[in-house]
Amino acid sequence: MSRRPDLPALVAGLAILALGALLLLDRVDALELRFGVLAPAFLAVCGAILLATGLDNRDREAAHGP
Amino acid sequence: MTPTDPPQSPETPTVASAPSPRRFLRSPDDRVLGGVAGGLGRAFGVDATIFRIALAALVFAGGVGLLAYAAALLFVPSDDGTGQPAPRERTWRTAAAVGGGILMLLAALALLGAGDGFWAGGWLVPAALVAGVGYAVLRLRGDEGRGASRGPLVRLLTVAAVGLAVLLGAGLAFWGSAWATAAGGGVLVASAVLALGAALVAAAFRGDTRGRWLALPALIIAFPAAVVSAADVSLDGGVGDRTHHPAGADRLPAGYRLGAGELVVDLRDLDWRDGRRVALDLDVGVGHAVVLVPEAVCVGARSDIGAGQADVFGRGAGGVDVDHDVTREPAAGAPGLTLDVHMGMGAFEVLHHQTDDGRRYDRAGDRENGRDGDHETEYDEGLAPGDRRTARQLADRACLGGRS
Repeated sequence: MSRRPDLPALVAGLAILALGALLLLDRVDALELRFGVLAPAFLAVCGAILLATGLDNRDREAAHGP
Repeated sequence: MTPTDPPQSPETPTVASAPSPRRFLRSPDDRVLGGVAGGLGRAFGVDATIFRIALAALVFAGGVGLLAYAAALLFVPSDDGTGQPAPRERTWRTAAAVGGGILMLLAALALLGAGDGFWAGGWLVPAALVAGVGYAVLRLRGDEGRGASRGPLVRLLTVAAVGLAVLLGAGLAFWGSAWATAAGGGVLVASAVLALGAALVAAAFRGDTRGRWLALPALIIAFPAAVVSAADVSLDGGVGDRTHHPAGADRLPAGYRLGAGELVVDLRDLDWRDGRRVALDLDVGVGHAVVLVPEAVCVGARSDIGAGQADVFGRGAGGVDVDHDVTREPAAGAPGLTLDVHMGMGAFEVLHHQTDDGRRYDRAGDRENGRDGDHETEYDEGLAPGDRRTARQLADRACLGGRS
């Protein structure tokens, strides 16, 4: 039976990969990172991690009872 | 049914007893740190994520979120899994670990000088110290009451030492990442962030929940690197305070460059006769750039600043991603200076006046009126008493369409 991936770690990993890609593209001058992009990007990463953690906890609680 | 129970007819619906409000206990399973948000969510019957977001937001409101969380850790017992408070000893042990870490974090942030803007009012540090002492006293009394055989001070110091070590590691990673990115190692830092992200994804597919903690170092490294990248800070040009003072008919370089520090370019003794036109580039990573010019020179400037402010004789802008353009044409026969300024983080100013030590600017209007902020600053250099004109008025005289 295939094991279900850990949702918070998966979301956090993908979000951090996206952030790292943004940083790398900026450093190699493929794009110009500005605060106007950085601030929402960081908030989105933190929000996605929090959301995934909350959803995972809720699912776990629903599966095993409160 | 017992003989004393009242008879119930099938037609009469049984009055369902209202569910009693759940006691606020820290959740043992729905937790990210200490189960405070999980317990709140359960007590109020809403998603704990809402409380997590609210607490995270309150951290930025003068640190209220941290204090509230620490207080909940200290005073709210943990749920033992049956809706009842867990034994006190276990609660205290958890509180010792997390509370100690939070106190160490507060102390370190205060020592690092983060208190000016982030910890509004400066009340948090003394409050945290009082809370720390109070907590230690309570902890010691609690252990004595239970006749604990192990030394509570030793355990407390252990927690403090581990917290300090973690904090130092995080601080080193944070500032190391910022420095490395500014010094040209941004690709390496970005690669480290990517590697941590890939490790997180791999851990997720292994079903290893411990891998979640990799997100923390990844964010600690990524955040300063991203700020440095967005501000486009570069340490090329060196670190320190530099003063350039070209005089006479000197041939000016195309520009001046500084990595971090204060850059002062004093052009007041340059030969500006015959309507000389000068174009100058300034490139500063982090710090303060000041250009001093005579009153007869018309100054135009284009400023590109990641985070900070530009001020050209009272015309300026501040904030993040500042792109400020003051285009001025010199009046007939008047000398002109055109500046192209690129700065990562900091302030850029064009002034007429500087004190003898070359580092402090005599702002007579500020001193006398006790003003600061967004206003026109008055300078007294070269003006007779009572002839107080603003720097902008003086500068405008040299430009096309300017008024005296």
